[in-house]
This record gives sequence, structure tokens and C-alpha cells, in this order.
Amino acid sequence: MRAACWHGKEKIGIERVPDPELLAPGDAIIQVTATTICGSDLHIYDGFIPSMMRGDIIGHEFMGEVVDIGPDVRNLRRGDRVVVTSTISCGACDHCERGRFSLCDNGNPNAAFAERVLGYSIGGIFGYSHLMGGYAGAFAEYVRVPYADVGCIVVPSDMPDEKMLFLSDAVPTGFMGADLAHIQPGDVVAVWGCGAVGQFAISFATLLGASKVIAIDRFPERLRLAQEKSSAIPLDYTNVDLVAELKELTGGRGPDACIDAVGMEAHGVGPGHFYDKAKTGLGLELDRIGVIRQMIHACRKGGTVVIMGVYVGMVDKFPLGIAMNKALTFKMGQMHGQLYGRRALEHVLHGDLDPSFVATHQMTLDGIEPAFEMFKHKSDECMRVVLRP
Amino acid sequence: MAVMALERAAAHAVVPHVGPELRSTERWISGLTGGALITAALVRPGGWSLLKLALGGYGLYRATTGRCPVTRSLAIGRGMGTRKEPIQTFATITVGGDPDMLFDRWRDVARWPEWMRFVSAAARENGNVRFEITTPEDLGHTPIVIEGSFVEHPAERLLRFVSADGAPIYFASTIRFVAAPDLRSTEIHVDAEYAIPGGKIGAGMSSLFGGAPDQQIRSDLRRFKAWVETAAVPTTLGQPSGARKGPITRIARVRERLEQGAPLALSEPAQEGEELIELIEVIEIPIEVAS
Repeated sequence: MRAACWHGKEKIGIERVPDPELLAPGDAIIQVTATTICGSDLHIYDGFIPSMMRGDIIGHEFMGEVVDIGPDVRNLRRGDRVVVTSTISCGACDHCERGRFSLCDNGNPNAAFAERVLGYSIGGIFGYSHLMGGYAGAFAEYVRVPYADVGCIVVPSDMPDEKMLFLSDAVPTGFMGADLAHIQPGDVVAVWGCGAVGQFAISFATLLGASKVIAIDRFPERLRLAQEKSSAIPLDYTNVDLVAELKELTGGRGPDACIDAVGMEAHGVGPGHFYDKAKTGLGLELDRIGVIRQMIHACRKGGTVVIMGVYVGMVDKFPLGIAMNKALTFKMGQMHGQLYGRRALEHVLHGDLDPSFVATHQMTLDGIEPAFEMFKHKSDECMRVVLRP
Repeated sequence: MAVMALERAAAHAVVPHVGPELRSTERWISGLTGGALITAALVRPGGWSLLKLALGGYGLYRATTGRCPVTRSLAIGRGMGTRKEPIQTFATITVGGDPDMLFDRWRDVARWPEWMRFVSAAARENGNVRFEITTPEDLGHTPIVIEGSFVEHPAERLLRFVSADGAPIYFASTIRFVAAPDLRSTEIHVDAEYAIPGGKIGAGMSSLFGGAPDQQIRSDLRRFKAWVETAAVPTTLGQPSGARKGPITRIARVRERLEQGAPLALSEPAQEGEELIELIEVIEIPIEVAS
């Protein structure tokens, strides 16, 4: 089969590799019909993710058709159309039983390695480094899916791919972000980042009852989309004193909940951003936490800060004293897609949400390198590229 | 169980209180080099003076004490502990299920190869346990057979293994199964002590466990947990990947060496053409890597 393999920083090549095979009784083989570059793939593309190896097949957000199943697979049949959750979880450990699928104890074959390096391990992730299990990813014609009963969500055959695909990652991530915010009637929710995850966090914040949602970004088309699709209040952080503006929009209180849908490669303005950029550029730090600082400063006393953007390392200039004295609640984590993906599917089938609006471009897998460049630089108003193997 | 003790065996290179780690020649070279570096730093101060002073001081430390933590960490194929003064270690994990069930699963010796990474065969013989470990390819896939007493204490949910006299290595381990506070899972505690001889067998053992047996023991505990909770050990071995050749990152290169059972280094300098994007320390443990 053909697959997109990581060749180093900003280098991806299409290679011909062997087809995947069933390696465990609970495996399924999926023929990929659609996949997409996620924002967190950019961290790999830009060389921020440790323990990548040359030749790793990357990609984790995908859907397709079941073409083979192992003897222990109970919920799937060949020919089923499925969306596959990007995180790999066993469904049997204590964390999975509690619905905290991304924390799975058994989904990562290299969990002991991760514990040695990081001090902890979480479940596996398709195509996302050997610390996360070293699983072959989704930018390929076929993918082996471990624990297929747990990770595959069967979707109707009459729905277009674009409407289902993002249930793999972006939709459940946004959904979980809004859910962790414990939104109450009358709440104001601010969402940093209006990429796909941010758009869905905004959508679900509205669905879950927020009275006002503020969308923060610097790209006009993304802010416009948040306004059109979710009636969010757009805020271009490059044109305003963001924290002051958020206070202004909330009568001086600050948003009740702040959601980070940006992550470690955050852009920003002012000296703080250049400080972060210099440190990451010199390899002294992996994460730029400008968004988190803003959230802590802006959030209402006693409010909730939710981090759904990906961070990987240690940081400094973290305003802990402010967070403590304001009695903020922090909620965060990799998304529990096996839980939120299925719940989100119900919303989509019910007509509450049509995720296809984020699919701005369509390309074949062979065009993955230009697709990465376009996605990274957000050229041609690119929000998400749907790739067809 | 038995292999757990083996896996721990290479965790620490040499028991620190059994005498100097360095030979006389090494100590002389360290002393002379260290003195030269310190002299150079003091006579011609410059941008590298601090580094020279630090390295020189370390050289003098090696010379005067005969000890070297770096050498100790890198030591491969050298004796590790003695039977009189074995190395001791421990590890623990929580597994879903009641202690009696997990006790029974663990004592099912014939199935050890399903979850113990390096055990290729295991069986009970005349009240003892006999199991086989296979060394990596570059050491000729040499089978190492270990035999020892295996005592079960069902009432205390406790298992003990002690290697027989004349076994290639000495080890003794105790596995305890304790009900967790949630009353639906079990804490498994492994306590072990071991001593690996020098020579070919010791080298094989060290290579086998990637120089970090403490890590391997934890890895096997995780494999046991997955084996019990999901009926299979997670794996990526046999999955496709692109070509591994070409510029690679430092850690990837080290990992490939680990796969091959090659000796390990605490730090691995970059080679020409490699992309230095890895920011984490080189970790000396084997992991699963697709072909």
C-alpha cells in the first residue's frame, strides 16, 4: 500500500509499504476512505514531538471501511463504515471503565518506556511517536486498528465522509473541552483558537447552554466562521488588549470558562510571545504557553480553565499565584474519543451539528506535503484538508 | 517471576561498595588528564574554562577514589553484584481482578512466554521451575536455561523463586498479591535480588535487558496487566513502516541499537547529518519498534 511516512522535520514522503495485518485477536483492518491533517500533526511535522523514527507512518484522524476483523471482534462486520477514534484504548482497564479512555493503561505497547521518560503513560495514539505506542498511522490506504470494538464507531452509510470524519478527533476534542467547562445557564465561555477543534468547542459550548461564547483568533475567516456557525462574538487578539477586552465583554468579571484549543505552538503578540518563541527556538522549552497565561489572567474568579490544546513539556512563567488566588479550576487532557465521539455522533445524527463546515480543501494522499504546508500556513483560508488515499 | 529478577540484574552496573571500579591504568590516565585540564583552565582562562575545570575535577575524583558513576552506568558484561552482596530492587503495579485469580494466573508457569518478553519456554520439573531465555541475534540467539525452586504460599498469596546453585546467575524474588483498597483490583509487589556474573553470560543478560532491567521488569509487569485485563499483550511488531534508513534522530538510532541488543551509552552524540530534534535524554530500555 502507499503511506505517508515521516522523514524528519518538515519532511514527509509517500512510500510503498506492506499492507497491515491482524496482529491481535481484537484487531480490525480498515481501508481508509478519508483522513485529515490535525493541528497536533503539525507538532510532528515541525519536529516538536520526541521519539519519532524515520519511516513512521503518521496521521491519526480517519475513517473508512472494515475489510478484516480478528476472531475476538464482536461489534464490527466486514463492510461496516466506521470512524476510528484517534486514541487507542483497551476498554477493559480501570480508566477505560470510568470513561477516561485516553488514560488507558494497556493501549500503549511502550507504556513502560513512556513512564521512564515522562513519569507516566497514557494510551496509544495512531501515528504519533513511539512514546505514544509507535502505532502506524492513518495517512495510508489501510490501517490496523487494535481494540477495534472499542475504537471503531459505526456510522451510517448514507452520510458523506466530511460529515463523519471529524468525529475521529476534532469533534470529540471540542466536545470534551466544552463538557469539562461545566457550563451553566448564563455562563460566558471564551475559546482560544478557531481551528477545527476550537470551532467544535464553540459549537458545543453553545449546545451545552452557554449564554455567550467569545471566539479568539487572528484569522478573519475563522472568526467569521465562528460567528456564522455558532453566533460567537469574534475577537482578533492582534487588534486588542485581549484580557481587557474580555473583561469589557463580561462586565469586568471575565469569562466563566476559558478553553484552550491552540496548544504548544501558540502565536501571540508582545514581549511575552517573543520570549516564548526565543526559548523554544533555542531548545530551552517545548511549549509556548501564552494562551494559558491569558486564560488565567482573564478567567473569572472561581472560573474554569480547560486545556485541550496539546502540550508536551515543562514551562515557565506560569502565573500560578494568580491561578491559586483566583481559585481557578483546571481541567485538561487528551480527548476521550471513545466516549465523546459516540455522544457527538448522536448530536450529528440529530441535526445539532454538521461538522463538514471545517473541511475547506480536498486532496489526494500524494499531495500531503503541500497539504501540510497549506494547513500550517493557513493559506487559501485552509482550515482542514480532507485527504483521500 | 524468575525472569523479573534477571531483568533487574543489569539495573546497576556494579555494587558500589565492593572495591574500586577502575583499573590502576584508568585511574592514572584520569588523574593526569584531569590535572592537565585544570591547569589549562587556570593558566589560560577562557570561555571553556568552567567546562575544563568540571571535567578536570571529575578526572581527579576518578583517580583518587577509583570510582566512576558513568563507567558504572555504562558497564556491560561485567559482574553485577555478588551472591554475598546481591543487588536488590522492587516494582509494583495494580491489576484488575481479585488476588486469588491473579495469583493463579501468575503461577501458570507454562504461559509465562505469553507475557514475559524474553522467556521463550517455561515448565515445572520436579518441584522446580525451569525456563529459557534467548539472547539477542548478535549474541547468537544463545539460549540461557535457568532453574530454581518455586514455592507457592496460597494462603498469603505469595510466590518465591530462588535460583539453584550452579545457575548461570543468582537471583531470588518474591511476588505478593495484595487486595487494593477498591476491592476490585490487586496490587502486585515484586521484590528481588540478583547477581549476574561477568563473561559471556553476563554480557548476554545485560544486552538482553537493554542495560535497564528495572525498566524491563516494569515493562513485564505492564505486559502481565494487559495479558490479564485484555487477554493479549499490546504490540506493534509486524506492522508496516517506511524505510528506516537515512538521516535519523539520535534517540531513534539508539533505539535501533537497543533492538539489536547492542551495548548502551548514557548519552549518544549526534552523527553527521542527523537531525537534532530530540530533546529528551537517551533512555536505555528496549521498546517495540515496527519492522
